[in-house]
Amino acid sequence: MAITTHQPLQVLFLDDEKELCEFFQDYFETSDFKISTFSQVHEAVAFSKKRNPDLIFLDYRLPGVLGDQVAREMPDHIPKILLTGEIAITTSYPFEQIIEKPFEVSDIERLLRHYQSRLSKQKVRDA
Amino acid sequence: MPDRLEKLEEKITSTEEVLSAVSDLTFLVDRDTRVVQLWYRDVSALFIPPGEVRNRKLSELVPADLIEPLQRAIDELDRGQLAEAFEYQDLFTAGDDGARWFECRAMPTPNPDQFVLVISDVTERRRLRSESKALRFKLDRAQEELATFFETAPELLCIAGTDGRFKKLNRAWERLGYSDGELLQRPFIDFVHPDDVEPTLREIEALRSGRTTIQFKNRYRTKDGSYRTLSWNTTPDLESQLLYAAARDVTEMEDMEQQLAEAKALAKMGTWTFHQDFRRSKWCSQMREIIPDLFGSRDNLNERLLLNIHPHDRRELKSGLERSIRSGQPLNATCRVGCGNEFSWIELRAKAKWRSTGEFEGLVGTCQDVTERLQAEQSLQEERLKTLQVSKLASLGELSAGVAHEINNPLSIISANLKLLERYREQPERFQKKIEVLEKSCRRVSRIVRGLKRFSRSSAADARGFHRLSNIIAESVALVESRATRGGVEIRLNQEVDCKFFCNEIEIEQVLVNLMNNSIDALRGQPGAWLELCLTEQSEEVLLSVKDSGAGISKEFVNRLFEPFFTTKEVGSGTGLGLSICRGILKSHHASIRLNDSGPNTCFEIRLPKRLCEIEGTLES
Repeated sequence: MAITTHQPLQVLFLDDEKELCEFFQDYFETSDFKISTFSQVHEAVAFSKKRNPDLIFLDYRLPGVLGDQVAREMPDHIPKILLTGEIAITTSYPFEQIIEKPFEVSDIERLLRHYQSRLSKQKVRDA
Repeated sequence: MPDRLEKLEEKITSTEEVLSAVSDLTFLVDRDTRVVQLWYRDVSALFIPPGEVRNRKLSELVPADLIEPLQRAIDELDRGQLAEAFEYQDLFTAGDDGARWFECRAMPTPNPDQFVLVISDVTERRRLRSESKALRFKLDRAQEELATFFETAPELLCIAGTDGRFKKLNRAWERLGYSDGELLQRPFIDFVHPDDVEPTLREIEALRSGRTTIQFKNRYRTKDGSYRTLSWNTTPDLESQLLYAAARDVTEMEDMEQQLAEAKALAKMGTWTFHQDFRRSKWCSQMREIIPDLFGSRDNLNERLLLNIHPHDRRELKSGLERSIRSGQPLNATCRVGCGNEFSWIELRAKAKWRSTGEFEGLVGTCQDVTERLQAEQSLQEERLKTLQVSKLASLGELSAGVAHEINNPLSIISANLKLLERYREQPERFQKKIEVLEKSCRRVSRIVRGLKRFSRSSAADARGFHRLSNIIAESVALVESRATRGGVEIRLNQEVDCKFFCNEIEIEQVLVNLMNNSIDALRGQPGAWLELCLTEQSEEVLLSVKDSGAGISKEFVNRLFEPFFTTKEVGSGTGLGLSICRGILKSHHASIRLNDSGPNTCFEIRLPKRLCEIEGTLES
């Protein structure tokens, strides 16, 4: 018998654009999604290790460092999505998705839902 | 009897005539100088008083000056010391006629008690004699002078026969290297350059017919086989069949003239003088090469010249010439010759000449065809602009990666927040806040696009003017800001003064962007990296420095920094033209750039001359 415990998806969002962080927080923070935003790289890395979020959004161009470098410092098992404003990037890191800025809010929303349902299914399996 | 008398009278008359003819006064005197007989021709100029003179003492008749020598002569004759006649000459002053010369002679007669005395007025004879002596002296002197002139004249002087041989040569001929003998022995035509023989013979023919030669040129062979060019002035004397000739050696002058003409042709330069008196205006043949239609006639050069100038430049040149005449300052004008699209460029230089009386005399000047030079300068300028543009595009390329990011980020913020606006429609405070975020993001995008547009514009379109340095700094910082942020480099500004600098603002911006890009590339990823733009005032210059937290530039590279194509960046990431172009841009602004390696950090100093700055006072930093 399936037990559906409604559990919010823990999401880490890292972007040096504070306004974008603010939007992410304001728009997606619901009972389904628990959003934690960061504009400082080291804080985000620390959080990822300590809190082990379910999904990570990373910006590509960060002050002094690139998104794929940051990804390598974070736990491997957490799925990561890269957001980029660049025209073309090359990265060897296995991101689950690469989303170009400016993005469609609905695309992000769909993604969040997708990962949330995957999480739920996993929880069921684990149970 | 009458016959005898007649004969006697006749004899007397003839004797008297003879005596009168040979002398002025002839006396027969006795031992006491008493007059026995007097013959005279015309005594009016002499001293014999009227009346009977016979038996009178000579001393009563003759001026005292003559008595003493006459008496002495009689005494000597009497003593038998003198057998023949003798003479005395002495000066005598007689009344109104002034000084006169007399000649006195005494002669014995068959009667030992009687003597013949002859007194002649020789004033005229003496005068003639002394005149002829003076004339002779003058003549000798003139001949001597002539000989001296002949020998010392630098010209080659000669007398030649119409038979074609020299008769007399002066010393100047030595310069041909021959002895007089060698020159005199052979016909002079033997010494003439083969090409000049025919014209020389024609000239001699003309001389034979009495014509005079002026400045006829031919070449004479010297002993060493080289040729000298001689310019002849010759006059024939038909009676004596002689030619009197003076030749000037114009070899050097001809060489110089030829060199000058060649140099002028090479430089496409002509010379001219314009005289108030139009007939004295002159121009060299080269002028016609430059301005083919210039000189139909030698009328007013001024106007003929202006007629050939391109209509667009005519008025300016005219006023330039007038200004030059008024001010005495030389004119240096560049203008077109021709009309419509068919023209060439000339550079005209002129200087007014004044008489010592202060009166305007005319103009002297040069005229040079500078079409080729101007075209070369123009293509060089085009090349320069092209290089500038290429370099700018390279900078733009470096910037573009960041630019996309810089535009896409605010666009993300805008599109995302539009979604929120709907949600906040009922919450005025949050709604307003989001509107502000949108506005700010829009400004960010438009600022970056505006900056890029400005920066990428071709320099040729931008005239120089006075531009505020703080604006130029702000614009260039805006261009590199995102790149700096992403590279982790903090940009600091330290403006002690502000001023306007006479420049092409985009080009100065290009220099700053280039220097800042270099700093960002070098510092990327270094912790605590910064770059600082300082604007300070010094005694002669305004100093704009770009300093960063880097540890300077390796000594081995310092000397090559500003060389074109020198780069330490990876292949493909830098053109190596940046700094050399920076230096070129600044040089064209009379400014300079150098690396100040005295401090611990990397620091490029740009020095802008104060004479091109409008200082606007000190700023609070």
